Amino acid sequence: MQDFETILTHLRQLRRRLVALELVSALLLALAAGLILLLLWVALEALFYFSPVPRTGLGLGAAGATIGIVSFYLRRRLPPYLAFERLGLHIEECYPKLQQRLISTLELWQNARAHRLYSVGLLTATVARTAALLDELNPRQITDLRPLMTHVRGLAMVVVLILGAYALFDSSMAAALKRCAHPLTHFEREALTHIAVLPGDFEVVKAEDALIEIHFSGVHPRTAQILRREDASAPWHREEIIVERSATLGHTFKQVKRPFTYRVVANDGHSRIYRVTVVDPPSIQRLRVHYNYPAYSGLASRVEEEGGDISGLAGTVVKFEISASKALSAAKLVVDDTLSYPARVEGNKAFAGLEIAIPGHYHFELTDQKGVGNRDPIRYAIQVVEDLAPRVAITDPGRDMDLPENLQVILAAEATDDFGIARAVLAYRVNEGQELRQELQFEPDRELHLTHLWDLSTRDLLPEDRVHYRLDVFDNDEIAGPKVGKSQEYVLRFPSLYELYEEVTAAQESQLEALEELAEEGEKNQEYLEQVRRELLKTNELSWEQKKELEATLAREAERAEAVEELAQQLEETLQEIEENQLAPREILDKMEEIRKLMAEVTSPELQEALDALKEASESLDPAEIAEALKQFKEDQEAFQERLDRTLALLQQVQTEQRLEAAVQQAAELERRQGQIDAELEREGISERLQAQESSLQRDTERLQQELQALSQEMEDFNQETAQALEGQADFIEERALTSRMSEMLKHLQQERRQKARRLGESLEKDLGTLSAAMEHLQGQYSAKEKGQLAREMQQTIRDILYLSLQQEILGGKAQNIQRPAAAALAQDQFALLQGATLVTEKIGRLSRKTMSLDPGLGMTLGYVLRNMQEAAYHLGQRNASAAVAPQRSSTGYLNEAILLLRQSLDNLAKSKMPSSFAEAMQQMIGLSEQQADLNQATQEAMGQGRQPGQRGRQVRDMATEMARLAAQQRQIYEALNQLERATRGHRGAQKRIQAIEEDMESVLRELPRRPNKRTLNTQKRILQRMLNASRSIHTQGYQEKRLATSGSDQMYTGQTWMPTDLGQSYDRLREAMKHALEGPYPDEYRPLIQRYYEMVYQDLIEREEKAKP
Amino acid sequence: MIRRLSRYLLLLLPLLCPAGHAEQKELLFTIARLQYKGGGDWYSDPSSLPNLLRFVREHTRIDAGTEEARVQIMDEELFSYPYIYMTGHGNITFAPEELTRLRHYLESGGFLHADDNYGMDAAFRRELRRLFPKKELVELPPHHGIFHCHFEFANGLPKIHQHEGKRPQALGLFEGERLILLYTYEADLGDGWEDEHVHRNPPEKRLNALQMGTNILVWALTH
Repeated sequence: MQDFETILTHLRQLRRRLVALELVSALLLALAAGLILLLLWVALEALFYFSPVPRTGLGLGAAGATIGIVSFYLRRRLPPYLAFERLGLHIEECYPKLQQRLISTLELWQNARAHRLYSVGLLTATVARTAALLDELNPRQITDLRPLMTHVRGLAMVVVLILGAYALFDSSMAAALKRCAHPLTHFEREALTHIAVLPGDFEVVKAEDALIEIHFSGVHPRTAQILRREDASAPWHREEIIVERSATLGHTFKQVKRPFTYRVVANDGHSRIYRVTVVDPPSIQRLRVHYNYPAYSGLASRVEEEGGDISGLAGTVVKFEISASKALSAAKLVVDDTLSYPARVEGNKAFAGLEIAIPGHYHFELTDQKGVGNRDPIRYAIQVVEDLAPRVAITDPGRDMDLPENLQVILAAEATDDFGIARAVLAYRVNEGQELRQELQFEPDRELHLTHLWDLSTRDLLPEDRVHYRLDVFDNDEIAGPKVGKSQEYVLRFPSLYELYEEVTAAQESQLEALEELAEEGEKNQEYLEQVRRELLKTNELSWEQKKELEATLAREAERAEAVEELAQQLEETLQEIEENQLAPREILDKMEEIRKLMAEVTSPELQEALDALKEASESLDPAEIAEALKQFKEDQEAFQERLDRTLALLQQVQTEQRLEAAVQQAAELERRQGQIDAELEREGISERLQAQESSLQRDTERLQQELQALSQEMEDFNQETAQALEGQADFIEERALTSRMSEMLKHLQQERRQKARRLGESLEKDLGTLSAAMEHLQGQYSAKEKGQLAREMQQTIRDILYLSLQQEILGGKAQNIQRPAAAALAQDQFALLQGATLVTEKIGRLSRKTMSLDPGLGMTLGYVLRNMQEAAYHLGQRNASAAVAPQRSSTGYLNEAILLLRQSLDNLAKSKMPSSFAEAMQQMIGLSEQQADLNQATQEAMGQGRQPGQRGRQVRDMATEMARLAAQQRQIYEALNQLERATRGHRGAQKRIQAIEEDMESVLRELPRRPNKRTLNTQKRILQRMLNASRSIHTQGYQEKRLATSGSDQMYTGQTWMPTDLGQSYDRLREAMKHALEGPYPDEYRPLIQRYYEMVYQDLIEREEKAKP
Repeated sequence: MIRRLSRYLLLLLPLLCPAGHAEQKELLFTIARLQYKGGGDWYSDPSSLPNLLRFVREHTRIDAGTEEARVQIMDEELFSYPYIYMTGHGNITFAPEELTRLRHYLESGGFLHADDNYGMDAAFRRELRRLFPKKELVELPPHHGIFHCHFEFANGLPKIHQHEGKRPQALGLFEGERLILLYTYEADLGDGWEDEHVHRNPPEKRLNALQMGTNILVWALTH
């Protein structure tokens, strides 16, 4: 029994051993099979790149096969070891010594039947023996290690195989293994071409290029594509590039403005998706510029909110305040690309400054906190505003001119400077002498309106001297020094009287000749037109030649009328020249003025209308119409001719009188000049200038002698007495050998014989004085005689008219009471009276050609007389005495009116002898102007001192005293002006001006003692200007109205020299909104609607604002 | 850009639109005289524009005609004229619809030269405030290009007629940087363009006026 148990124990041990061996073997098999299947699986995966399902299936299959193989193996190998009987058979087979004992033991020992069939002892012995044999049994004897070894070898082979495969297909097998390790995971099939991109994800500064580097490995592609998109939802934008053989390729994304993603694709390979991020560089969002101008400019500091280009005077300090788009780490101001000025940085703001010195440019360099700098900074210009030199113009006289007799010139100048005028200097020189400078006083300002009464009478000027002058104006530039602006240089010439007369006489003679020609032509035209009219009345037709001739005559008539107008204008200019140079006494000037008026009236509107009507009629070719028009024209033309003839006659007479007046003045002038030469000789000795003056005097004396002779011949016909007297004076010059003595004096001067020259000069002066006195006497006689003659003629005419009036009255009385048949006899008397009236009218006509004193209404009154007398004569001729009574009464009335008018004319004639008080008043005005000029200057100086700092209390007292003194002066001038105002009553223009001056003076008188200010000074300036203008009005009276219609004189620009930066446009929100809307993406057909809408709103707004205004 | 293009198109329009004469007649540039309402004498200085056009033709390359055109603001052909001129001595009134259209005309590239013939100043400034309430007249200083673009005017606008003796002023209205309206005040260029016998201006004054008128025209057509 024990043995049996021993056997079982052995068997169990053996079975464990064998089973373990088999399990090890099975394990090795499983390993080998598993590995080979795994290899196969991986190989297949590497080969086919399965999707997860087949890959997993294959994996499971491989695993299942492995399990199956092992199971099959175990199933085949393990059962013999599991049951003792089969184990026993296996042992028996492997250990023959047992000789069936073991199997017998196992089958029989526990078999109860066997116990009955077989001997127990035998069984026991067998068991024992078996047990003993089993004890002896080496387990190895029954262990078959071949399968194990086979499996080991197999496993080894599989391992070798795997290693070999791995060695051969390293990456692909590894990748396949990896995929097999994650069978359910989806793997992208690994490409043949591998692409690597550097730097992959990166940042780029906005608008700059982004560069990437692409590396290709694996299968080298021929081309590649770069895929790019800015939005994840947008389609990729592809760009193909040629790779060729290069393993590395660069690519540039140009001017990147927005972030984007990209990838590179080539063959089957592709890179991963990268992102390029765009970084904005810092930029200037707003540049505020503060300007601080140099103090002298007087300009207030200002700020430009949206600055850029800067401009200012040299010395202007400019401060910049920069608002950047992001926080900054550094900033600097770079001038002209060379000079850098660091800016102070605060967050996204930077502050810098510079002083404008020279033109150039500047920009800012900004760096943000990532170190990114601003790109392409704007270069702003630095402009240096030039402090221009002042501009100055002498506006009055503003031309070269002759000096007036009083040698005082009113200078008016205008100057302007961009930043202020500090000084004004009148620079002048006499002939080629040394330049003299006279400082002019004014209140410094940007604009200068200067009026200065320049008195040259103290300069001892002699005829033919020339004063060259200009105005130098200095600005207040403290940086670069004052700049000077110079006016144009003008010349004031001191003319000799002879020259003045010569010019005026030449002009007058030319005008006279022209008038004579016009009068002659008028007579011819008149005759021709009368002839045409008569022919027309006879033939009642007009040939083509006649028509043309008529047209030509009419054209000449029109030209003649224009020529007369032009002559009137020329005459006015001559008259002005005579007045300016005081070449004629007031009486002659009045006559000249009358002539000018007469000439202005020569071409009456009626004549022009008649001429137009005649032109129209001649075009109509209707003979009756032409004849009628000719008749009308004839009447107007006769009147025109009459006026022209009268003008001509008057002009001739006035010219003669003027020549006589000129001779008188020239004689006086010669005496004065000789006296001046003598005085200068005594005072300063001999000089070249004196020699020239004496030579000039001799020449002018010769000319006077010739003029006296010529004038004598001219007056021979109508005034023998004066003619002889003139001849006598010419002889006096000859007898006293004035010209040869002057020549002798010249020699003395040339030979520097001073004493002799002086003595001769004195005797010459005496003789010239005699001549001058004689000439004055002569002129007085002439004037008295002429006026006496005229007065006598006028008185005679009055008597004639009185007689006519008396006779007409008597005849009228007779006509009232006479019977019808006797009326014819009265008609003869009436005709006789008519003839008498006609003679009187002609006499008045003749008188009117000699004097302007006749009342203008006289001609018309006598016209009425003639018409009424004609009518009365006609009725009496018709024996209708009662009808004649009324015109006879009218005739008497008009004759009496004519007498009154003639008496008035006689008074006019008498009054014309009176000296002109107006001219004297204006001379006084010039004197007052000088006083006012001095007063203005004193006031300005006093106020200037008042503004000086320091010693305030004392100065206030001094100033009050000074102002009281000035006010007293102003009052004196005011009272003198009051007297003048009374003297000029009757001269409306002048009086009005004086009254305006008085008003200004009253204002100054109020302000001076209290608180004088800038306004006071300006009022004083205005007073002076008005006084000077008033004193000039003597020359301009009667012309003012016409002058206002003349062309404008050039004026200096005195406005702003720059335009506002907004060009006058303030922000118009509604307008901007409309523009914005119109630029929007709307269809074209909507735009008019949009515009209409906004315009309606806009207009509505304007109207509302208008209504809201008070 | 669009505005600039429209301005150039406006310049070409006179060449495209009928001149009112037979086809064979040349298509020439002309100035349109603005016929405004309100009672003012829009028709004054009748010989001025023909004289100016003749002068422009002789002294520039502008192919100008010799006859002025006349246009009212509401006329269809307003936009056919790049340059309109107005003058007078009296009152001016623009109706609301006229203001709208004139505004549109000026903003679209048109140009208006208003020349004070003495007396229209107050009325014109009043209407101008209604036309562009947010714009102010700006005086053009002597260095402005309009005084140098063809003839040289170193001292700015010339004084042609005396009137009140005030300083002549060239006042501009701008749209952005473009001069759209020029108002010449106290100069009376129009009188200077008239026939010699009308005002008897000296030859140099007439020449000045015509040269300044040419400058204004050249500036308006090229800027």
